[in-house]
Amino acid sequence: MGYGNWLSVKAWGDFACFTRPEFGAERVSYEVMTPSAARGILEAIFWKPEFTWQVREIWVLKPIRRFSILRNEITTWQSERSAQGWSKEGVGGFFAEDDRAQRHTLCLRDVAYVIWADINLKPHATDPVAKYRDQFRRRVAQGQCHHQPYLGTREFTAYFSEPDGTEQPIDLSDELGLMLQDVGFVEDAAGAIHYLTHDGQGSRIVKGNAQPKFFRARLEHGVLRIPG
Amino acid sequence: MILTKLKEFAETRLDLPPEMYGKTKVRWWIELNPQSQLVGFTPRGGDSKATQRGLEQTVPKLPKKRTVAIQPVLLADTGEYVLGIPKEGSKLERVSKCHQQFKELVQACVAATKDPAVQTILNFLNNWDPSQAQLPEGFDPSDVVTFRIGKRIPADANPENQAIQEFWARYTAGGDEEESSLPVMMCLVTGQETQVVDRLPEPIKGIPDGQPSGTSLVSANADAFTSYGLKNSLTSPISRSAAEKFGKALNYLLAEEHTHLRVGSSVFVFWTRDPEEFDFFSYLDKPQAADVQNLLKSALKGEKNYSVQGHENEFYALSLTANNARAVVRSWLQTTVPDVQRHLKQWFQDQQIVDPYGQPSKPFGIYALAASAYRDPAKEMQPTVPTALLRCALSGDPLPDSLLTRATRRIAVEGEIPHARAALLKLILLSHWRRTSRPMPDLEALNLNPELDPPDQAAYHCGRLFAQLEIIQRAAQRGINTTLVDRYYSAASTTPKKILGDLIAKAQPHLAKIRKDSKGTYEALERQLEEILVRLDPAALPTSLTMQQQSLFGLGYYHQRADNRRRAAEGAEKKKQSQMDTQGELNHD
Repeated sequence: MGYGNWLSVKAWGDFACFTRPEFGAERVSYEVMTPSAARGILEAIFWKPEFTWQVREIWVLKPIRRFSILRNEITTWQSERSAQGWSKEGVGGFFAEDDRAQRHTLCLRDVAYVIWADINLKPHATDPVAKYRDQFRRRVAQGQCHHQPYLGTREFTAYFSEPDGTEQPIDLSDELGLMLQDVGFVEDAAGAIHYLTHDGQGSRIVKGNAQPKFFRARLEHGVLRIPG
Repeated sequence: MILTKLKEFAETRLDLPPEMYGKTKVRWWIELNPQSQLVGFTPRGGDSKATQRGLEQTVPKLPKKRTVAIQPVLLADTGEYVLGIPKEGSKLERVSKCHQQFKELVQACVAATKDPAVQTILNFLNNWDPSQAQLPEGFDPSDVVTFRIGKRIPADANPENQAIQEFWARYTAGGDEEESSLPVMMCLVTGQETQVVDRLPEPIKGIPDGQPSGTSLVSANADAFTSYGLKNSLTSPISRSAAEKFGKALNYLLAEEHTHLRVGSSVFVFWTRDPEEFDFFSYLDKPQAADVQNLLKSALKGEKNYSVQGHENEFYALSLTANNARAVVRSWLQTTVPDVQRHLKQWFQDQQIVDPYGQPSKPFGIYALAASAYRDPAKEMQPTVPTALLRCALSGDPLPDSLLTRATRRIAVEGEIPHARAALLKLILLSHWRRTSRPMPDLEALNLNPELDPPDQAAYHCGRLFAQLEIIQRAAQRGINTTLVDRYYSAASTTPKKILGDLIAKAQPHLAKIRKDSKGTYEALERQLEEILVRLDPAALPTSLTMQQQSLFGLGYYHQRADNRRRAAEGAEKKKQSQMDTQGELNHD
C-alpha cells in the first residue's frame, strides 16, 4: 500500500462549505474537506456500481480562510410530486416569500486540495481493479465528469485536474476534533428514507436508516489521514 | 470542536449541579421526623415580591418544560404533586393522579437507592390524606415544596444525596417511555456510543435580538435543515449530558461580566482552558491607557515561540448572533494565550495615532472602532465588522477592504475624521501593508512626512494641502459657516488634480487679505503652504486616487489639522503666558 497504488485528483474552488452536522441550520464549515465530500467529488468524476471509493488522505494546499454569507433560503423541501401536479394542471405555484428562512453560512474561502483514494471492488465485480483505475485517470486527464463536482454544497463548484507533482500541503498541524467520516446506510424495513443500492442482481430501491460515522481528525503538516 | 471545548470548560472550570438539577424557587420545607411524622412547615421567603414564590434552591428538574402531561419531579414539586392539594380551578381527579404519580416516583427512588430518608418520605406520603391536611397560612399549591428530615434535604444537590441524583439522571435519561425510544449513536461531542437526544436541553440565553426564552445552538427546526431523514437534533447526534454541559457553559460565559462582549447585534464569548489572570475583556471593551502601555512595554515577542507549544494555555473565542430561535456561529477562534497577547500588543501598536489636537493617542475598544465607520451604528452596523475587528485583535487576521471603503466614505460624507476613525484607517492600512510586507511608515506620532511609496506620498500630501487651504480660508474669512471642506472634501479626495489646482489659485486672494490684516499670520501660513508644496508638485497632482490612497489623503488631512490645532493651542498658551508675564511686571512696578 501507499501512494503508489492510490489515485489522486486535485480539486479547488473559490468557496467551500463542509457543513458540521451540529451547525446544519446556521451552517459552519469544518476547517478541512471531509472524507465524504472527497468521495462526492470522486464519484462525480467516475463511478460504477462495481466499486466503492475509499478516501485515504486529503492534502490541504492553501491556508484556511473563512468567509461569511447570509442568504434568504426556504424552510421546506422541494416536492417533486407537487411540481408534477402543477405541470399537468397548470395551477398552483410556490411563493418563496411565504416560506423564507434567513440562514447564515460560515464557509471556507479559496480552497485547494489533493485527494488520495483507493478503489475497493464489490463482491459482484468481475473486472480487475486496474481497469477502473485507468478509466479514472483518463477521465481526470480529459476533465470528464458525470456531473460538475462541488465542494461540500452544490453552489460551490469544484474544478479538478491531475496533480502536477508540485503540490505541497501547508505547514499546519492541528487537532480538528470529531469529523464526519461518512454516512452509512443500513437497510431497515421500518427505515425513514429510501435509497438506491447495487449488488449482483442490479440496482434496487430499499428502505433504511442513515447512520453518521465520525472519526477523530488530525491535520499533520497539512495532511488529513483517514482511518479504515 | 466548539461544543467539545465548551463541554470541557463546563467539566473543568464550572461547579455544575448534578445532571437534571437546576435552580428553582422553593417556598416551603415540609419538616418530618425520622418516624415519618409531620413536624411542621418552614416558610422559605414569602415576605417580599422577589421571594413570594420562595428562595432559590438547586433541586431536580425536568428535561423539558411541563405542559399538559402529568410528569412528577423527584422530591421537589408543586403542592399539587407533592401533597395532592388542588389549587383553585384544578380538577380533583387530575390532582390526585399527579399526587399518585409523585408517590410512585418516590417509591421507585426508594427501590433504587434504599435511602432511609426517602423511605421516611414514602412512609409519610402513604399515610397522608390530602382532605385532612392542616396547611400553614398562605400555602399556595402552585408553589414548589420539598421535604426536610432533621437537617437533611434529600432533594438538595449536595454530594450526600449522590445516590438520589444518579437515580434521577437515569430516570430522566431513559426511565419514561418516550426517552427510551431514542437511538444509540456516536455522540459528536464526546465520541462515545450512547443514547442521543432529539431535542437538546439548556436554551442559550443572552444573545442580542434572540428570543427571550432562549435560542438553540444546535437545531433543525424546519424540514430544509434536516438531512437523511434524521429529525430535529438527530442530524447531529449529541448525548444529553454533553448537551447540558455545553449549554450551561455557554450560558455561564454569556452571563459572566468578563467573559463576554456585546457589540451591536453580536456577542463574543471568550474563555481559556486553564484559569488565566490576563483580562482579555477589558482590553477589548474599554481598554485603559495604563494597561495598554504595560502590554506594549511587555517583553512579548513578535514571533511565535515553538519550543513551548502545547504547554501554553489555550484561548477560545466564539462570535454569536441570533436568528429568531437559532443561535448563529459567526466566527470561531482557537489559539493560545501568549499568541493572543502578542496579537493584542500588535493591535494596540497599530491603532496608535495622535488625537485630532496633536496630543498623544489613547487605545480604542472594538465597539468604538467599529462604530466609527457608521453614521448610526445602532441601526446600521453589520455583525461582520466587529467580528473582523475581533479576529484582527486576537489572531492578527487581515481586515476586509470593505471596511476601509466604508470608513473612507464616512469621511467624505462628513468631512470629519474623529480620533477612532483615524485609528481604524491606520489599523486597516497597516494590516494591508503587513500582508504585502511593505515597510511600515510612522503614522503614529505627528510626523508630517512619513515614508510612503511615491503615489501614496502624493495622496498623503494632497490631504495635507487640503487641510492647509482650509485654514487659510478660515483665517481670511473668519466665522464662515461652510468651508471648502464641506464642499470639496469628497471631490478633492478622489480627483485631487481637478480640485486642488483650482483651490490653490483661489487661496491667493485669501492670502493677500490675511497679509493686510496680520503680517505674522500670513507669514506662518505661507511658510507652511510652501513646506507642503515642496513635497508636492502642483503641476503634477494625481488625477485620481485609489481607495487606499483616499484613506491616506484622509490621514494627511488629519495630521495637518492636528498639527495646525496644536500650533494654535501652543500660540494661545504663549500669548496667555506673555500677557501674564506683562501683567506680573506691571504689578511689580
